[in-house]
Amino acid sequence: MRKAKMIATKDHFFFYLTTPDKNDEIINITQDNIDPKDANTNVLTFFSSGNNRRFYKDGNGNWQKHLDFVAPLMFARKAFGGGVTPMCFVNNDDSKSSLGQVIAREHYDTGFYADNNNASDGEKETMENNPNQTVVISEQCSVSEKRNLETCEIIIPEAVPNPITEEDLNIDWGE
Amino acid sequence: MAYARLVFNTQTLAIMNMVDPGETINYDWSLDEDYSVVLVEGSVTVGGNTLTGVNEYRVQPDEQLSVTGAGSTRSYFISLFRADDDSAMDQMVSEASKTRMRTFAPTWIDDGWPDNPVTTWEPEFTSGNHTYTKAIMETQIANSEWD
Repeated sequence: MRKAKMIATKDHFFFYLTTPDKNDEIINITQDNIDPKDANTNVLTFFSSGNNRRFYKDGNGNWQKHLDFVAPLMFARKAFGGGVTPMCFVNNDDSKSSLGQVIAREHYDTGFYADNNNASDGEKETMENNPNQTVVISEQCSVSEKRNLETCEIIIPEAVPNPITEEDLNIDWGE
Repeated sequence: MAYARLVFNTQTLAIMNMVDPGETINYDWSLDEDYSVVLVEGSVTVGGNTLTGVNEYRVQPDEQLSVTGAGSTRSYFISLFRADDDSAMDQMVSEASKTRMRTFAPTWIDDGWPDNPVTTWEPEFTSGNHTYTKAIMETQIANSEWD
């Protein structure tokens, strides 16, 4: 389970995610939510808790394990476009793991952030027309996705064996 | 343990601050305009109030930020500034630092990541209260390679 909280501060859009368990996907930036017009936008990313494993996609579209990052840490990287490939962070420990990103406030509705913020029309209007006013996005994002810590593939819950046969169901399907 | 360290890009200067319970981080400088601080973990006392959860505190004009760790766990908060705002930057850093923040890009930037990125700041934290000065900011900006 991943939960996110978003706050538009005086000058920035603050995007904060936390996950409670091992294998939880923390953040997944895909080619689909990279906006070409943000090609040169840099983002500041930080970890305030946990052990976070980074994966990236190689030229063949396969996930590759990169490195483990341990909180506390903060760094500047390109978030969109350019040479950036899709990447994913996964909780690598049996404890809470939290990641935050900071972008300039005017980018709150672009690319990945447009896809992942639940700002209402009223909140968007406030952010755009009152640039100094704090806006806490009221509808926070909650997502459940687990990934393999070696391959980054999504873990699909194992099907529970079902002993019931079609005959047992005794359903009249009609003509 | 208390510690503060900044990271910048062309638009943003962010200071990541860490305090253990009972420890205080002081900024011995202020701005003539307000700015945002966001608590992301733990609980702190700031401006006479206790702040918890993921929440913003707005530092007021001419206020020297002073934050003390409360509760029983380590707290983290991020101070946010616009690196492309002359008004704020002129009060915080030198011309050389302004120029570096607005023009610096590492050689690996188009590849996405450095060959040997730093993977944690944990060893850099030390015990006790911490005063975060403009001189420290200057040094951190000059030495930052984004790795």
